Parts: sequence; C-alpha cells; structure tokens
Amino acid sequence: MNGLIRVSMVALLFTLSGCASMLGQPSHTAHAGSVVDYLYPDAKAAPQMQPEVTHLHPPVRVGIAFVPGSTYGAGPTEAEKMKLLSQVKDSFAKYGYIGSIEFIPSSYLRPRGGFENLDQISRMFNVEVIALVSYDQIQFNDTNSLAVLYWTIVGAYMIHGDKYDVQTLLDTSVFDVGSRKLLFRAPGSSEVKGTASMAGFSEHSRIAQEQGYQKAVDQMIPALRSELEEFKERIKTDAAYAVENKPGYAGDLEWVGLALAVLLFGMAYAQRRQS
Amino acid sequence: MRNAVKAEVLVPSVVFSSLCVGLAFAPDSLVREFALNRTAVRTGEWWRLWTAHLVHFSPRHALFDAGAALLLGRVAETFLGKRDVAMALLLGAPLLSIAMLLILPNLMDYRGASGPATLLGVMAGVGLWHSRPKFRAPTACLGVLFLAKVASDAFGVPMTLTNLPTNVSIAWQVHLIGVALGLAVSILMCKVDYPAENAATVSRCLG
Repeated sequence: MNGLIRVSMVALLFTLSGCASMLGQPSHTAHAGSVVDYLYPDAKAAPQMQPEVTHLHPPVRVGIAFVPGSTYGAGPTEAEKMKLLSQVKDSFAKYGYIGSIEFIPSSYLRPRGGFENLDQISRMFNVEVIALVSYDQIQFNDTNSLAVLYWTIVGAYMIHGDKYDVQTLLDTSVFDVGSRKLLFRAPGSSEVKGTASMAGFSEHSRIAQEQGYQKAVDQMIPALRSELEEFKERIKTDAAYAVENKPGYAGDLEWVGLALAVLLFGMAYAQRRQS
Repeated sequence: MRNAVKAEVLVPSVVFSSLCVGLAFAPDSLVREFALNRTAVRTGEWWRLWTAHLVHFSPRHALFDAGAALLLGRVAETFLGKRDVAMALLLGAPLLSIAMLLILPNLMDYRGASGPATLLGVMAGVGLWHSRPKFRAPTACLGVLFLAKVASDAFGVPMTLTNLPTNVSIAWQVHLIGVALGLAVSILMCKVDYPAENAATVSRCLG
C-alpha cells in the first residue's frame, strides 16, 4: 500500500512539473513594422540614390501612415496608432511650410508594398510627402533562480521567477515621394525591465509593452519637432533642396483701381470747391 | 503746427497706407510671417487675419494698393469720420480674411491691401453719392468701371502693371467681398444720408 502511495506521489510530482514546463514563456517575442521591409522588400543590396535636387513646393501636402506590421494584429492597437498619428500630425501642423495633413488608413498600405505602393497612396490622397511611422518591439523572457519554487504550485502565483526585458524602437521617416528621398527621420526608443510570477507574467509583460511603447512615443515626438525645425532651416541653405512656392493670391487694385481712386478723390475735391 | 502734424499721423488711412509702404521693403522672412496662410491661422497665428492686408508681393504692388487706400480712406474719413474708418479697417480686415479662407479652399498665401481699400472706396462712394445729387452719375460710373475691372480679373484678363510673380493670381473675390462689406458698414453706421453741413467737413479734410 505504501509503495502504491509513493508511486502516486512521484507520478503527481512529475505531472505538476510537466504543467509548469508547459506554461514556460517563449525566450523572446517580436512585433515589428519595419520601414526598410516595407519600402525595399526584395533588396539584396543597398539602394542606389542618384544625386539630384529635391523640389519642395510649400505649403507641402503631407500624408501620415503607420508602416504595416509583419504579423497581422501584432504591435500597437489601432487606438494607440491613431493617438500616435495625431501627435505626429500636431507636430507637423505647427509649421507654415506644411499645408494639408492627411491620415493614411493602414488598409491602404500593403505589407512589403515598396515605393510603388507609396506612389499609389501619394496619387490617391494627393500628398507629396509621406511620414511613415514604424515600430519594432522585442521582448526577451528569462527565468531567475526563484523559478524553482514554481514546483510548489503556490510559488507559481507568489514568486517572481520570470524576467522580461521589453525593448521598443519607434521611428518616423519622412519621404519625398517624387524623388523617393528620405528628408529626415526622428527616432524614439525605450527599455522596460521587470519580473513577474508565472501566473502573472502575461499581464505584467503586456503592461511593460504598453509602457515601453509610450516611453518611446514620449521620446520620438520631441525629436520629431526638433527635426522639423532643423529641416525648416536646412532647406534654406542646402543645395540639395529647391523650394518653389505654390501659387499665391494677391489683393491687387492695379493701376485701374488707383486711377478710379484718383477720380473719386477728384470728385470729392470738386464737391468741396463748389460748397 | 506740431499738433496738426500729430493729428495727420494718427489718421487711419495714413497709418494704414504707411504700414503697407513700410512693409513693402521689409525682409521676405517677416513678410511671410504676416501673409494669410490657412495652416498658420489654423494653428493659432491669428494676427495674419489683419496683417495679410499690410504685406504685398512687390513694392510696386504695395504702392498701387497703398496709394488707392490713402486716397479712398481720406475721402471716407470726410464723410464718416476717422474713428468709424478706423473701426471699419480693424473689423473689416479679419472679416475679409475669413471670407477669403472660406471661399478659396486652396488659399495658402494671400497678400494685399486691395480688400480694405475697396471697403474704403465703397464707403467713400456712398458718402459722395449722398453729398450732392449731381455727383451720383459719375460715382455710379466709377462703380461700374470698378466692377468691370473685377470682371476682367475674374475672367483671366488682368490689366496688370504690378509685375506680380508668375505663380500669383489676383484674388478678385476679395474686391467683391470688400464691396459688400463697404455697403454693410455704410448702412450700419447710419451715416449714408449726408446733410449739407458735411460739406464743411469735406472742405476741411480735403483742403
């Protein structure tokens, strides 16, 4: 009988350890929407740029879009994307040389669509410059020495035996669609580390991902404003850019208006002489 | 003598036209900050609603507009008074700008004093119309000629001497808005029916 109990206990122990092993975290997860993968999907070598003058026609019509991710549904939620795009839009809207700003819905950007896709979007939304927001978030998971206490079952709920390290990189790359030239870019990065119990790992790591994303946003937006300011100054002096103004409107009375004003003034003068 | 000079300097039409001429020689970077730009106004640069009427595309453009504004303003002041002309300029300028932004969705760079000048011209014309019946026919002729000029601009036959940049077209709409505003101001100020005693004011101002 005692032998049967011993065998049962050992079997139970192995079963539970099996559960713990099954619930172990993957060593790393990644969510990425890379601007390079999107624009140069089949590139084997670095793209060859011809030295040419980029013609800008302020006020420039700008489109803002999120680079499509490599995995459907991965990365930031649609609400987070829209919030970020709104912040990017606000950064652009401050400048007089920026005209209209259009949000480009994610569904219009094909994964690995390349510049051909960008040309289509440019024509469809009537924009000359596109700001592509890309993200890359990778999470490394490890266990520490406390993880051995997961064997006690209770430990899986109480002991923080799992570690996570979430690294996020956000980037806004602004391209002139006509010349396919990168005008400027503004990055933002963050790293969030922490520990969690096996049972709470999923929740903790999700919160860390959100925090990492937000920290990267908080770094990228000021960098974008700084880049916009710098670009505004750079195009005045850099020979690689030619600024050609869009048509303007003049309130102009011309010589005809001035002649009529002289006649009216003369009539008023005549009235005075007669009175 | 000094008081007379001081009073002349504070005349609204003189101030307005002097600012136009002065800004005609200002650096382009400053002029751009004053021009009417839809995006800039949307982001809080409200001063452009007023200052767009003080800046121009070229000194010659500024001289034509400022000259007309000065002459028409002086006549309007004789009939309506300096205070009312100043009010008309201060309130009319942003209304003209807002109307332009509404009418022209692609408007990104507007400059010129012709809108306020037209407003002053209509005020002056209405004053002259009511001063003596014998001036009504010539005043009406001037009005018709002005509308003909607006029509020629609208149909793309501008009679230009102001050598505007090639990518700048005349905003004839602002002249029509100026006419409407001028009529509204004249009616609102209830001074369209001028009695004979205004002749003395006319003499004083034009002399």
